[in-house]
Amino acid sequence: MAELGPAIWATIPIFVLGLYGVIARRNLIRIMLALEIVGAATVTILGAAAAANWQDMGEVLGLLALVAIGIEGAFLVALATLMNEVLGDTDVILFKERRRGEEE
Amino acid sequence: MIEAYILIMGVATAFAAAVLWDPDLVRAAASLIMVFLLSGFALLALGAWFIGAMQVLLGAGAVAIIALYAALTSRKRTEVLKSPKAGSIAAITLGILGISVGLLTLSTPGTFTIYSSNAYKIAELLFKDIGLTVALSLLMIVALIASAYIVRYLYVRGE
Repeated sequence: MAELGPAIWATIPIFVLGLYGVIARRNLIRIMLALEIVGAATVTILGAAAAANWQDMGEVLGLLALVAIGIEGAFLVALATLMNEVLGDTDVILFKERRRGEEE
Repeated sequence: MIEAYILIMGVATAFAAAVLWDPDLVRAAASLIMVFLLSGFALLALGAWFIGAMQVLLGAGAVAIIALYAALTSRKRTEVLKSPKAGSIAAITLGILGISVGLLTLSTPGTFTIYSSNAYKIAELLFKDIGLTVALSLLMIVALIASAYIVRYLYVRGE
């Protein structure tokens, strides 16, 4: 019988890569893609936990996590569209600098 | 079955790396579809077919397609912009995460048995036991999508 630990260890690199993307990228669309990776890894861990120990509750929580990813995706697409229209770019640091310049 | 899961997740990790380092945003979004598809297949290999199917249908079929739409409509498609001080922050994050993962695997006991999703029990749990949470999450979807449209409407009106 296999333990749950190796399954979590196999999924964690994807989770870490997603978090790295959120931190290290400045294009809003790339940040959104990285957040989706984090979400996909979360759902996969919950699914693996369902198969090992949590049974149906793991699957239901995974489903709710998928809904949360959908919400986040819809919101970020709207934000990216708005940034494209207003700024002509999706660089979050450029956006921040321009806002600072306008305030000064 | 766990061997198949680990193998598939290894391939998915390679696609996740492509999402971050591929200069073309559209190719990166296409790699995200592969991440969702492969992680869904990995769950199918464990017997959790319900959430695996949802991962393929909702994840690869809806969420990743939204991301693909965002990539296609972006004005600058071929660039990898790096945030300043990304390396040191990321290293600290990875260190903290590694420790927490170790703790997580220690405190989450579980052994894989022959498992198959039970749609009846899932529906019972979803609509009876945690029905309020589900209703609230649906309300959140409506509220967030509506707020996104309001932001867009205000911008168009401001012009």
